[in-house]
Amino acid sequence: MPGKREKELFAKLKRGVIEFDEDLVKKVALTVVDEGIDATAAVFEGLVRGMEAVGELYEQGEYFVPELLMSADAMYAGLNILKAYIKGKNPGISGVALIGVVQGDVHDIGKNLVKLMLEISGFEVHDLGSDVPPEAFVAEQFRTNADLVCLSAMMTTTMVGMKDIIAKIKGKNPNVRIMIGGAPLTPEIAEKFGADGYAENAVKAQKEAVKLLALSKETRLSS
Amino acid sequence: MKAIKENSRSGDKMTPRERMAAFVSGGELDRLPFILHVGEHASRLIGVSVARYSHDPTLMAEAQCAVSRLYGPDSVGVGPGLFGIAEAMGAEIIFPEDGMPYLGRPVIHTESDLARLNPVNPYRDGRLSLYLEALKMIDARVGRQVPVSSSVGGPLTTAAALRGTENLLKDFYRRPEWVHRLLALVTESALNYIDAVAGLGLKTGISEPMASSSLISPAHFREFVAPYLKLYTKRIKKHSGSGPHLHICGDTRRIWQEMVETGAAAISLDEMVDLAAAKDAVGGRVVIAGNVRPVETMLLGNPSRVEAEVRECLRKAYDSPRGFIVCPGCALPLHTPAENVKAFAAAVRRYARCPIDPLLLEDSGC
Repeated sequence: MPGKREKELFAKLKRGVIEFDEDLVKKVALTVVDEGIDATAAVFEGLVRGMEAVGELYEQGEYFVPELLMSADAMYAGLNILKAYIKGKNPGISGVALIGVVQGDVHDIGKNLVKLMLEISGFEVHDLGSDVPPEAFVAEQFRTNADLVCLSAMMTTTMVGMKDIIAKIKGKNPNVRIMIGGAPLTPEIAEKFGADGYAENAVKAQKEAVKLLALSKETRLSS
Repeated sequence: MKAIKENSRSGDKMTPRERMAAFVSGGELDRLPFILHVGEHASRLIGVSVARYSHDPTLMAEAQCAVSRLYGPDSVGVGPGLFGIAEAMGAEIIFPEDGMPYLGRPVIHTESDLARLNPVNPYRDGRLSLYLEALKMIDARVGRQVPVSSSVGGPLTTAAALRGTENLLKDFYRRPEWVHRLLALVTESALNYIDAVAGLGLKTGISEPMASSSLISPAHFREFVAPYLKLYTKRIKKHSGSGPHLHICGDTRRIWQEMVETGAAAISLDEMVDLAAAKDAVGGRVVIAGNVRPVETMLLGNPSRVEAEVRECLRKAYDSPRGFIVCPGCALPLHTPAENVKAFAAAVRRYARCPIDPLLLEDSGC
């Protein structure tokens, strides 16, 4: 149970993320380490709470992409200090996700934000980066045994390739859940392409990912 | 190569030039106008790769004249689009042989990078002179019947092409004065290009996709975009007597007033915007244009869906006080089927005939 001192420090971490005060986050993260406080708790009850609050501000139309990026940087500044001291398993979701921007496309801000939101909720995320050929998605899903594959595209010319990737992955492993996102995409197109899910921004993507993972686990238990 | 058949102009009693002149002056129209935002898609009409199209003014002219012949929009033209000004200033643009060009690595990082940046010479830098050449040819061939114009990326989009989008958005907070200096430089470049286009007797429109609330706050729009857009529109107005067509894709609901205040004469809106709401908010101050869905309908739909959506757009905004122009919500995707674009044109010719019959536009519920 976190005591008064812990709560005080975690609240500062949360505030540092929301106010994108990197100096505050770094200072407090170092204090956590110096005072031997539980780093895992600091991450999840401090930094991650901050990022969740930022997500909500984004959904409410108070924060936009510049603010998300700044908050993410503040969060990573703290995470980089604390991660060496994290013991034991991440108390969030247990799932493996694979993410990448499809071949021919290099717009990766959205993909990076989705990755961040998935990581803070506990997914182990494998990031293939951008301009990823279909075979790489298939091979990496197989190698990591990812429960969830997330495809991102910003252009009409590249998003059409998603249909093929989805077919290839499901051909090899029908249990994998696949979600797609990016500016030219819509729920209708996602359905047309055979995707299991769609999200219009990083915050919604995290919720969708959690939902798909639950469905995937249900299927596996019952098969 | 299949011969390009001339589009049936059934019912049209005016040339596009006559129609647009009447539209602007509030005169009588045979029908409402439509435009198509055709960039690289034009290369499909003459069977050349995008890379070849983008580097050859003769092919650009050929392709855009084919657009005019095949689809008959009320404006044609060509321009450096989203990246051309930035490219001329040193941005890295990658041209796949036959796909959309895209941005490479950011090229402006430090103070000294910024200090070395110069406003462009539109006759010499990058591929800008190719566009000026192409515009001359297009105007010579079709300019008597169709208004010809160019278009240029807005200040934020251009700055982002040089600095990298993610970097620039964070620079808003980390070094705002530096951002302003970069924006001032790209603005000067754009003004030089606008001047060169005006030298041909032509007008320039503006595309500023990065400025919508899908990406940045209205406050940041007011701080970092509006002041520079105003400089663009002021220059365009000085040459042509009227404000430009300003296209900002994405969700612009919260910045319509600001868009009007930049001095634009027409604002072009994306698919997620409710045209009726835009009409109510600013239709008394500017021309409204929009907003058939470019991906779902133009690219992935069929002629009957296209027709239904053109009707829906008309239903919502045909009576906008300062006028309404039908167009796709954003640039036509590269692989848009020609039959869908023809259906678009046919639908406008059928349903936007003046005086508009609202009964004809009613939702048939199918």
